[in-house]
Amino acid sequence: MAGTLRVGGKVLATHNSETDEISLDSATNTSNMSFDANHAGIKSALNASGDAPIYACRAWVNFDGTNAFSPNPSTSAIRDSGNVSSINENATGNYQINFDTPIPHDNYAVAVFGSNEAPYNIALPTFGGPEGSSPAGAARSTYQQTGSVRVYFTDPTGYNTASDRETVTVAIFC
Amino acid sequence: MKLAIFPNETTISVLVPAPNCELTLEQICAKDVPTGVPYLIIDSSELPADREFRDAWQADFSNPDGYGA
Repeated sequence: MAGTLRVGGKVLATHNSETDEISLDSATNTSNMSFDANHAGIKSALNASGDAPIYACRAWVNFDGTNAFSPNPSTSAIRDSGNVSSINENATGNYQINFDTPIPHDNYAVAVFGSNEAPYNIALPTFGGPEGSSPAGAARSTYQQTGSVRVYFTDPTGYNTASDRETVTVAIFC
Repeated sequence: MKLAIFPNETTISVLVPAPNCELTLEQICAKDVPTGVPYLIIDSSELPADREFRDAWQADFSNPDGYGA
């Protein structure tokens, strides 16, 4: 049987008899409630089956690291993003992602992907560090900070040679 | 499209604001340009068309639009 939970005439939650689910009203103040991110209901809603806990992506971005910076882009180099205020293109293949709201700590995990037309279909990035000290595929985290992270791509065919990527995606987890 | 540029150790950095960021470009520059570093707000058409010598780009920052906070 459908119903509503009211306090002082104000609706706090509604029960859906068809799905047997209870939904909090959007105006309900939840500041004094506690929630478990790994509650079975939340994991089910996120299609996260199994016992492994879930952790959130705190920032992400997809951008063009090549000709979107020049010449004369009509649209932003940033195709889409979340919790990112800007990106700095520091040099060839050298990009810094600036977070809109800082990440809680700097021990977060960074997932990075960069791709170009063949033959550079996939390239592993390096983090931080000057261009002259990073072989292709190496990874470091010198510039991994709460407010930003820097990713650096090398040419997979040339040691210590920086190169741009047409598609760069970065996601931050912690 | 408006961008910002600022000097780094060897060349210049190009700052591209996120389209969905609610801050103004000036506010983003204050936050994301290194502290005390001058920046210029430019139109993207002012950037060189050829990236072959990207790492040699230079600019005059003697009359900046602001500084990183």
